[in-house]
Amino acid sequence: MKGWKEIFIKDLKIIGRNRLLLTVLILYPFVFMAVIALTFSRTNQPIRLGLINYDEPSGSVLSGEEGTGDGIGESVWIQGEPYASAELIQRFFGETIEIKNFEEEAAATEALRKGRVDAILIIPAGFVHQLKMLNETATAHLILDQSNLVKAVATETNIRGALSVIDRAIAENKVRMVVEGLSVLIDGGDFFGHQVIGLRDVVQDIDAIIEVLHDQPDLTQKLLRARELASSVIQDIGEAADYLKATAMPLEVAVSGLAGRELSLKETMVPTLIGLSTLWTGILCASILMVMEEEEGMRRRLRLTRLRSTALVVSKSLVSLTIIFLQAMTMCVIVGLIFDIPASGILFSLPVIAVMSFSSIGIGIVIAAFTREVTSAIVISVLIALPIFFISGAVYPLSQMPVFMQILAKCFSFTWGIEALSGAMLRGDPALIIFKYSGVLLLFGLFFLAMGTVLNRRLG
Amino acid sequence: MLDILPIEFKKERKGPLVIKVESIVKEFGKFRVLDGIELRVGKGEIYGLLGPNGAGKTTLINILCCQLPPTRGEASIGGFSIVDQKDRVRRIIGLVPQEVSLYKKLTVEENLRIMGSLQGLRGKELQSKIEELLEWAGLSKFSSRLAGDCSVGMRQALNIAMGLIHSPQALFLDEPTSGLDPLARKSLWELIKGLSGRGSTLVIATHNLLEAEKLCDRIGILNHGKIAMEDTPRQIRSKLTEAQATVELGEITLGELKEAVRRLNLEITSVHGKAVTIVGPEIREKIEIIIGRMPELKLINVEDYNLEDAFIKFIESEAKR
Repeated sequence: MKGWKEIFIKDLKIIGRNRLLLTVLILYPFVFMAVIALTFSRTNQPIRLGLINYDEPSGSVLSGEEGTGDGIGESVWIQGEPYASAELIQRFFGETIEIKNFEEEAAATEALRKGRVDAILIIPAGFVHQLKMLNETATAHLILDQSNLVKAVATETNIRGALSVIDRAIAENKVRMVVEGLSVLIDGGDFFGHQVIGLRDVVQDIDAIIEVLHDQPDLTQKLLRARELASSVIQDIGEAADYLKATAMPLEVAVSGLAGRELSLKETMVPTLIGLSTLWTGILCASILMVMEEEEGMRRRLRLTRLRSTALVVSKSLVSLTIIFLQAMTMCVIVGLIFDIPASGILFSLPVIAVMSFSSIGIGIVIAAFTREVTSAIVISVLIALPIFFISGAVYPLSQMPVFMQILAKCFSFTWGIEALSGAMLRGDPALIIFKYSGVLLLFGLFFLAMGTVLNRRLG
Repeated sequence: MLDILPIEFKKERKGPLVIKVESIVKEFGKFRVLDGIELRVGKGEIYGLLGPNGAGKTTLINILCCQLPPTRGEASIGGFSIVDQKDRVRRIIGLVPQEVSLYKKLTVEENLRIMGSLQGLRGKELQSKIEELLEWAGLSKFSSRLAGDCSVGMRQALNIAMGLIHSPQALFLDEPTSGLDPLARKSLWELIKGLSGRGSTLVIATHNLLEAEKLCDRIGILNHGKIAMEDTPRQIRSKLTEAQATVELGEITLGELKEAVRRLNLEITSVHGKAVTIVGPEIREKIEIIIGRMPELKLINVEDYNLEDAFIKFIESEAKR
């Protein structure tokens, strides 16, 4: 394997002196990282919601519990406070949703088209009235901009989340009211505007009558049965109230990540970024460095030296590996400092990056066997890298893709690499699983490197 | 009687045999590029492979440099077979490719250093070789300049120096001066001539007749995959070069002149009044014979054909044949 060191040092020198190579191979992944980081840095920004509220009485600022009498402008009591529709939305949508009020649908639709709002929520007349009624449901209309599906889904999820808070508060309120009503049936008092005697008083009255009529056994027996029935009803009502509470609000979700940390959109991008940098630099660096020898006319000369094809491939692979590793290490350090990714996760990701690099470099060397110019190598590399990236599950979940796409994705090493990096950094997968993924990646790498070497020897 | 029949070309070489090519055939699919090439080049000789584009010059050089296997035939350089002893052949030959081949982002010295290192030179030996070649190529002052920043002539000189770093027994130069201006070309010719003086055997592929004439000890004209003619530049020139003589008939009739011209294998190309133009090989000698026999004829002038035109004529006549 003579001569690889000379080529290795020469290539590092050339990369250092060549602005195009410096930009494409070394700086670009960091620029990309910065772009992604900045793109996702506004994830806590509120969603802009255009609100058209037909439940607001026209010309009236104040809203009373009874409203205008036609069901508009009524208030609902939640946690001891009265809320009209506008206040309800304002109070429960909180800081995650910024509300912009519109008088007409046309103006709101125009704002949605121009991206000034992310969605439109139409509150119909009598919305709060319907919310308050025990036998009615209220319907709000949400309009989304479907031209950007990711934005539409994210907006819908956020607004549904905020509406579910209102939903839950109203349901709690209704259940409380019913439970309170049932309590009144037991203990007596105001039952939705009517003064009623509680069942416990009825039982006490029966007991008093029994004492008076103790010498009339037939009557006493009948009264005892009535008392027993009243006691049973009291118990049943209590159980019904508990059942109602449980069935009306059966689900409470506590969310946390596999690794026991809170979810963070920015954090989920880390394996994707490092994986993408490995893929990009590996394919481009190997293909460019190989083709550069051809383009500069040096390939014919090199064949007359001690340098053999294998040594040439080894030296180009080592240069690429060095650059990938330096990039990945730097990225790991940066994300390690910014995010709460444990050191063990970063440590486990390093062997994954190494084996992942082999297949990227191998693909680059295969590309080089079919190209004679650096610009062609760059174009072909990008054409190959982009589909590999999109099919890998780094952007869209693999499990949501059609089955044949899932099978196809498994044929690309990058998919396994992203899985392994996500496992190491985000899921906290055990070492054995990471090694399993790394093994698959290594096989891919060896396959592509061997193919690249053979093709370069034959076609180069 | 004058020997005006096809000439037996002499095939002389200078020193001991370095390059020996025997019946080399190269086919790409059904297309035969080289068709039984025979070649001998001696030590210290500069051999010119002359021919039009597509004649097979670069293919032959690629085969001799072990970059391409021959379909049939054998060749040896320095006694080593290019088929069975490629590694040994590669160690004793140098190649100066047609396109300037160097690392533009390395300095002149770095280019020489990496080629030297890849050829196995180390330490003082490498350093002294680099200094010697920088001096030889006139690049000492520019050793730290990036090759990409050098002039075309300097780059071509470096291109040749890189092929010489391991002191090869045989150096193959493929169109070494293509794209150079006349000054740079002249300067490069001097460098190449100097190499022969050092005992290097050089094979130069070119389609530039003047370059071949100026540089080479012998020339082989390659056409349609065969060596169509091989000799010293002087002989080649005399074979290829036709001249035209213009005579005034005087008392001689055109019919008498035609007969004399035909006997000497010459040809009348134009008649303007009494002025007759005659062409053919070795016109100068033959026209003197005709005037000797017909003293009434008056020689107006003898004009050489352009060398390149003659070469083109030769290639075209070969193609017709």
